[in-house]
Formats: sequence, structure tokens, C-alpha cells
Amino acid sequence: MVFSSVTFLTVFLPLTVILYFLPSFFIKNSNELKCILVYKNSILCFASLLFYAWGEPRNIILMLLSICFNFTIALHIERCRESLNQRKLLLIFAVVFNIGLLVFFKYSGFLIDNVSLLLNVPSKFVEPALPIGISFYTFQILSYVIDVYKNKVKVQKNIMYFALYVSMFPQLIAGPIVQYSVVAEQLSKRKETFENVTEGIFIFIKGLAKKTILANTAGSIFEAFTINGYDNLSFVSAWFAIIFYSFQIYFDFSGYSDMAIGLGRIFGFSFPENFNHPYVAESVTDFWHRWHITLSSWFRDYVYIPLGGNRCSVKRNIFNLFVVWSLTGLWHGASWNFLLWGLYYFGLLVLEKFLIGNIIEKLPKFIRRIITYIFVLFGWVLFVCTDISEILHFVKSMFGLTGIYHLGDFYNIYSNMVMLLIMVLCSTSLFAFRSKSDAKFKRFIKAFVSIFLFFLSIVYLIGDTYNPFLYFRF
Amino acid sequence: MNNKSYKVKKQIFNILVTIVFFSVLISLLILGIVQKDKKFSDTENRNLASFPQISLSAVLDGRFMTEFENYLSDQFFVRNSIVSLKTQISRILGNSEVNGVYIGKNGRLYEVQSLFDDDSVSETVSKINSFSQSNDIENQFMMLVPNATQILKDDFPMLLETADQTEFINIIYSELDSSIECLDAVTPLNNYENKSELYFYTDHHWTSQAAFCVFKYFAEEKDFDFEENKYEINTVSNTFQGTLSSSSGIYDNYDDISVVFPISSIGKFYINNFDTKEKYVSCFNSEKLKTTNQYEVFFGGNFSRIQIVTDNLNGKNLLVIKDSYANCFVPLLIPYFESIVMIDPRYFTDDIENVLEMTDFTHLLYLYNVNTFLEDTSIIDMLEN
Repeated sequence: MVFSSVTFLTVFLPLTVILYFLPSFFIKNSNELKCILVYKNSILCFASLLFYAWGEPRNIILMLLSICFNFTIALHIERCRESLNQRKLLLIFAVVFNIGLLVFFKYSGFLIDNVSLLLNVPSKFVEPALPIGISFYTFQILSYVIDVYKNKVKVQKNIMYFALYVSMFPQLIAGPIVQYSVVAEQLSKRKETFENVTEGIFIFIKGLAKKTILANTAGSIFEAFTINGYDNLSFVSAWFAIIFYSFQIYFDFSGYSDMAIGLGRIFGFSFPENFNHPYVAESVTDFWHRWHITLSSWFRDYVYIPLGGNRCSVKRNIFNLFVVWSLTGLWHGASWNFLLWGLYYFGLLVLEKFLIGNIIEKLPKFIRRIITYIFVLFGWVLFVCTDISEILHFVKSMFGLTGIYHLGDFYNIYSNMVMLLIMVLCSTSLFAFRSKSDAKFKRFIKAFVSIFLFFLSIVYLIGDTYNPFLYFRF
Repeated sequence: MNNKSYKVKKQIFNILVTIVFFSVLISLLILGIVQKDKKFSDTENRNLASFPQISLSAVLDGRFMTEFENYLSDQFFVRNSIVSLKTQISRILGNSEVNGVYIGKNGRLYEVQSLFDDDSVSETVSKINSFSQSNDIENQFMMLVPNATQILKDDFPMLLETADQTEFINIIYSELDSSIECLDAVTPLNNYENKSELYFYTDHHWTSQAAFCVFKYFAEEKDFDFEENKYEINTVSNTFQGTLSSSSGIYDNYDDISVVFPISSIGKFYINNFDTKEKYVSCFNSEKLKTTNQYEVFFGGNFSRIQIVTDNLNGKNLLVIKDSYANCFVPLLIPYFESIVMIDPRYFTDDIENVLEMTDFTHLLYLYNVNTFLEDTSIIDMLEN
């Protein structure tokens, strides 16, 4: 199920919220609080499994298996406190198991295709279907097992609570990647207040609007510019196409994160922020502190730092960065262009860190932002084109080597100018209220804006289902 | 004290927001359920999703869930108004394209120009060429008709530019075998005085006026026996909303449908529909004016094979290979032939040789609208042998 669906909005969400909060209205006795918590967690856990099963029921088996396995192995790691070797062995076993599943389901097709290409033997391998959200929940599970091993967190003794952590529906499908240490306490002790619920609703609506109004529109404008294929772009259409793509992917992804954070807040959870206006970043390093923050933190905590981070020789440091960024690239998808995309950022970051960082800092802020955004745009070209020749064509067009403009380019620009302006404004921090001076005023503005945005989101969501059947097309 | 009342107010505000939000969500569901399920959407011309059947297999492969979502969104509270509101909003924001339809001045709707794909055009043309050499029909013609996107550029939305169909037509004509005479429909349409009546506002077809204008031009060019007063023009509908309206969901304008036909004193004829096995005495089926797609008034729509037999025993037999642009043009030709056979390759599955064997054709006409000719590959399949 996705958040921006009628099923979720009008059936799943209200029912879950009502069931979740129902006993709180009748039971005020503090002795029964423990009972209520178990009830609430069971409701949330059950709802999450249902949410997951709604899309692809078969995958739920894999997830339940993964939950049971990791729950047990973490208990065993905890139990053999004395034998360090045994703990290590168990950890390696767990990591291999989890990564193994991820590789099998996500990368086996890619690996076997390339090996068969290399050996020049045709492969008859049928790629398994990718279980939705596996990249996200595998990383969450790993953070738990590794932190238990490192004694950073207490082992979870209640399997239902652990299942809830892994499957929690707000962040299950597209993040943020919540490390176990962040929510460990919240699983057994959290406070739902009307204040949190209200705040959660506002954040959720913000995300819903980003997804339904901005991301979907940006997507269709991107398609309008690339209607003749990536190898038939003009200079003008290539730039506008990739700009709209950058907005599509940003509003889609950050909208989804906002919805997740908002929903979490409604149930009393506080998830980490995942995006912080990435397109106003002043350097590529800064961009990665603002884009998909929970993913970069995960790689920092569980790959970069264990490898030695930057507390080692420059050579080793560069190698560590190389590993992290290759993996980051591949995490986004099993295809060469994603690896290339990761390596592109590896190159840029190394360049910034060791060579030209000082020079960049001397440039005016405005220039730095523009330059960073342009580099990010070239990155998105690697992201959007799946094969190398498409990438080359696209980049050629961006350098004006394939003609300046096509018929229809100016029409497309003219008809989407207002939308472009709205997207530019919404991706900056202009609309983020920062001042806390007049909280009361701010609340009312937020409420009105939210009502308006919610209404618009529904209009866009339902408006997009217009689907004429033209049997008399000819 | 002040602080306390502030807190109380804040709490009331929060409770209010929470209650309002969730009651809106639930009422949207309830309003959708309470409102009686609609079976058919007139504007979209399709059956709306109904409540899906629950079965174990449908749940296991996720079909039930998809259908359930379709059901909820198709039966959403005041869905039609929401859809048109969305179109309005995007028009206000400056976008004049909806679902592949451009909205021009005066609300005229245009379809997107089809792409010119060298390979597929060459293949179609070479199939036509070899067909024209293999059969022994004496007089062969090709007529490609431009559409509103070419002839009515004045009403275009701001800054819209489209590829030149005249150029496409010229390229195709130049590749055709010399045994096929190419007919120029662009010139008469361009020279027509009241251009806006050549094409519908809400549909992608040309009008009977346009067909008649082109026909008159050829009558003069070819110097055949033609008197304008032997044709009658009648407006049969003023409530037509065509394919471009349904594609875009924009139902602001109504079109007139006119029919032009030879007056009855010219001779008798009947029409033989091979698909429905019916015979009629008129080219026009007025029953179709009561349906959504009123354009089917011409010959009752598109059929694989229609034969017109007249009592004019002049030995001239015409074979028309065509798309729907021919439907308002062919009635004009009736006085000149003993029989006319119309073949629509998109629906025709028989062997074309069987058609050739049955009648001794003296004339062959390919009649297509440029966009269909560029997009449709069924003519290749039909002429394959």
C-alpha cells in the first residue's frame, strides 16, 4: 500500500488510528498503562504487517522469517557474553544472512547477467521479484544486530516489539532508515499527545502535497520534455528535463519521508529528519548532509567508521570513501548506472575534501549553490538513464552538441513556468517557519495552509485517475 | 493563570485539528459508500470499477487490493467535479495540455502530432507500392488528409509549434510508385474561406464541409461531370462532443455534425455491411446520434468491409482502403461508380485477394488522415502477401 492512495487515506489510516487510541479514552488508571502499551504495539504491528501484505502478500513470509531469525540471533549474541569469538561468529552469520537475502533478491539478476556476459554463455536465470522495502528493512535490522553486538543497545526480549520495529508501516517502504538505537526507548515508552498528533497531521499533509501535487506534476513535465527519448534531446529540453526530474525525485522522496515522519508522530514516535532542503546546498559534501540523511548516516556508522573512517592515512581514507560510495550507488538499484552515480559522488567528494575545498569556500554563497546544483543535475542524468549510450547522449545534449532547441520546447517551458517557480520556491527553506516568536499565529497559518494543501492533494490524487477508454479513437 | 488559559486554548486547537482531519477522512469514505455506485462513466466512456470479488487467489496475488483501490477511486465522492477542478487548476497555472490534448483559443481541441518514423513509413510505402504493381487496377490514387493541427494553426495555444504535415505528405508522396496518382488535399483546405468549419472543435475528424471542399476541388481539377446542386447538406446534430473531449475531459463546447450527400434523383443504391450482414439504403445511421460517439452516424461506424452497390451500371468499380476520414467523403463518390468497396485494414482480417476476386475493380483509392497513416501498421499486415 502507498500513502497516496485512497485505500490508505480513507480506510487504513482512520481505522488504525481509532483502534490504536480507543482504550486510552476509557482507561485512566496508571496501573493499566503497561497493558495499553502492549495493546497499542500489537495494533500497530498487526496494522504494519497488513500494510505490507496489502501490496504483495507473498513477501510477508520473507519478512517474518527475517524477523524471527534476527530476533533469535540477537538473543544468542547477548547470551554468550563471555565468548567473544562466538559472538563474532554469530554476528558474521547474521550479517551474511541479511546481506545474502538482499543480494539474492536485489542483485542476483544483475550479477548473473554480467557474469554470463563476461563468460559469453547465455543465462536462463529468472530473476526473483524484488520484495518491496527490502533495502530499507535489511538496513534497519543490521543496525539492530550490530548495535547489540557492540553493546550499544539492550537486546529486545519481546518479539512483537522487534517485529514492530522492523515492519512499522510509516517508514517501512521508503524510509527514513531508523536505527534501532533511535527508537529503542520509544518502543516501550512513548507519549502520544494531541499536540503530537496535530503536528504529525501537519507534517503528513505537507508530505502528501509534495507527492501528489509537486512530484507527480514534475514527473509528467519531465516526460513531456523527453517524449522523443533520451537520445533525441535538444540543449533546452535536456536542461529543463533534468531540472524537472530533480524536482520529481526530491518531492517524491522527501514527501514520502515527511509522510512517514508525520505518521510516526501521530503514534508518538519521533523519527529522524531525512531531507533538509538539499538543493540549497553550498557544496557536494553539504548536499549529502541534506539528502537522504538517514542513509548516509547508516553508511557512516556501519561501513565508513568501521573501515577506519578518516582517522587513517589519506590513501586508506580515499579507499574507505570509495567503498562507501560504490555501495551507496548500488543500494539505489542493481544496475551499472547506479554504481556510476555512486562513483561520480565519490570523485566529487574526494575532489572537494582533498583538493579544491578551500577554493570553493572563497566563492560567494550564491555561486556555490548554483555550482553544486549543476553537479547534482549531472548526477541525476546518471540516475535516470539506465544505459551508457543514453547517458552519453543526454550529456552531449546538455553541452549543446545536439541542437539548441526542438519544436515544442518553448511551448513546454511556457506552459510549465508557474509550476517551475512553485517548485523552486518549495525546495528552498523560504516557507519553513523558523521564528518561534509568535507561536499562536504560526499555528493558525499552519492549520489554514494544511487544510488548503490537503484539499488540493485530494483534487490532484483523484484528478489523476481520469482514465478515458477510447475504443472509438480512430 | 494566563499561561494556563493559553495551554487550554492550545489543547482545544489540537483536539479540533485531530478531530476534523480524521472525520474528513472517514466522511470521504462514507460519502463514497453511501452514494450509489455508478456503473458507467459517460465522460470517460468506460465501465467504472465495482466492488471486487474476494477470493483467496485474488488476495494472494494482490489482484483484490488493486481492484479495491480502483473501486474506491472510481466511486470517490463527487469524482467528476474533482477531475474537472483539477483540469481547471492546471489551466490556471498556464498548462494548456491535458492527457495529450492541446486546448487552443476558443476552446478548440487539438490532438498531438504523431511522430514521423522513417522506418515504419518506408515499410508502409513499400508494401503499398508492391501491392499497386501486383494488382491490375487501372487507376490508383492516394489521398492523405491533414488535420486541424496543420490547417487551423491560428487557434493554437500560445507558443505551440508542431511539425509540418505538408512536408510529411510530400515525403510520402515522393516515395510512392508512379502508378499511384497523389491527390493534394492541403491546397483546397488551405484556400477555404471559413476554415474553422473544416474541423470539429471537440473531435479529431474533418467535417463534411471539409470533405466536400476537397471533393469539389478534384471535380474541377479532373473536370468530371459535377453539379453542386445535386448535393444536399443537412445539419443532423448540434450536441456532438468527440474523442478529444473525452480524452481530455473538457466538455466546454458542442459541435454540429453535417452530412453532405447526393440527392435521391441521382439513382438508387444499397449498402452491404459484411461485418453485421445487414443491408441499408442510407449512408447515415441516425440511431448513432443518440449514442456517445455521434460520429458513427457515417456508415454506422468503422467496419472491416462495406460495399455500396448502385444502379449506375457504368462498369466503374472503386476499392477504398481507408481510415475513418473516408466515412464522410465516400458518400460524395456514389453517383460516379457502379460499386464501391471500403476496406478498413484495422478491422480487416480476411485475405485482400478475396476482395479483388469478387469485383473487377477499375479504381483504387487510399484515403487516410496523416496521423493514422503515420501510426497505424495494420495496412502493412493486410498487404503483407
